[in-house]
Amino acid sequence: MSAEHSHSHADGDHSHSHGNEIPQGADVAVFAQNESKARKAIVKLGLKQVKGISRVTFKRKGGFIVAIDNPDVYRSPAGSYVVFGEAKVDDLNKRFAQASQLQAQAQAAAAVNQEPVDKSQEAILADFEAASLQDKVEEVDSSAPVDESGLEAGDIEVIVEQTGASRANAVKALRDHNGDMVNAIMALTS
Amino acid sequence: MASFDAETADNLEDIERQFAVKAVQHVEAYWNLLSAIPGSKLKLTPHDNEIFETLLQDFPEFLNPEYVKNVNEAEMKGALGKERWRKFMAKFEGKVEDYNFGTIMRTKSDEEYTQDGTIFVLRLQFYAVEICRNRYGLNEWECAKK
Repeated sequence: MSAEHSHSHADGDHSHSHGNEIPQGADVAVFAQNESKARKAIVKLGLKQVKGISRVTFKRKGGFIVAIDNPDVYRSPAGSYVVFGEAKVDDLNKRFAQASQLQAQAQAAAAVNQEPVDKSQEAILADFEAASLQDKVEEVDSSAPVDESGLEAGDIEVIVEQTGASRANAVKALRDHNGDMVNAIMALTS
Repeated sequence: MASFDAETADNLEDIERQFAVKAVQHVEAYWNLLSAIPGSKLKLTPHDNEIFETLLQDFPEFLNPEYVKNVNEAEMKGALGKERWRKFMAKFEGKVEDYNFGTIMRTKSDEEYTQDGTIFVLRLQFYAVEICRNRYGLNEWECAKK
């Protein structure tokens, strides 16, 4: 385990020092030394290695996770953990989007399988029409009277002017951001 | 553990990049506002009055428009300035959204955002200074151009 670990570090360092003809061995020794020092210190602290962990993830605000695959995990008697390994940032939002996209594709495929006849042009046009009807329904919804209590009409108008968003969306953005104008605009334009 | 620093550096870079995107979006959104609406009529948060009044109480030097026109970064970020701003910031914790987010601010109110003319401050410091500038009419020129 330990040998494998220092090997991966050597690889990582090698990619950083590309171009430079620094002998790889030197760096490996430094890392191995530091790491063995750290490991010795850990043993002294009374940490026990936990085997069989395949992945450690840290969840950050906003759906981002930092993940360490095949980590070396040590546990202290008090219950805190020390984790060695290469951390990678993973965007959960993206994963969810991909997953739901895959699901939608699978559903579409299933639908096509059930009704193979529906590939005709008419059916596709009907689909488009249905979709545009749905859009229209949403528009009506957003132009319906919105609760603007606690907000200033002038603020809402500024947001609408700046972003081209609907009044309902401007109200929602202002509410989401506690009346912060710049943040509301950012939410509607990014 | 030396290798650990190198590993996290990659991740930090990624997070920094996302942060930079946000900071620039904030600059753009604020500048568009100033271009469309005269600063004196601009409202930034529901707490503008409170921020302004507290600022003048805690930092009487902001009563002088000349002081507000040209922010002294060294003074703001020196040991004394840091402590004064920390106390000021604490009054708005939980009240002003993202009050301690890093934000890009112009040092001179009569210039646009430029490479040398911008400094990095906390969101509430940005609000305090810009609200002050807006009320003193120091930010009218951008809107008047159009």
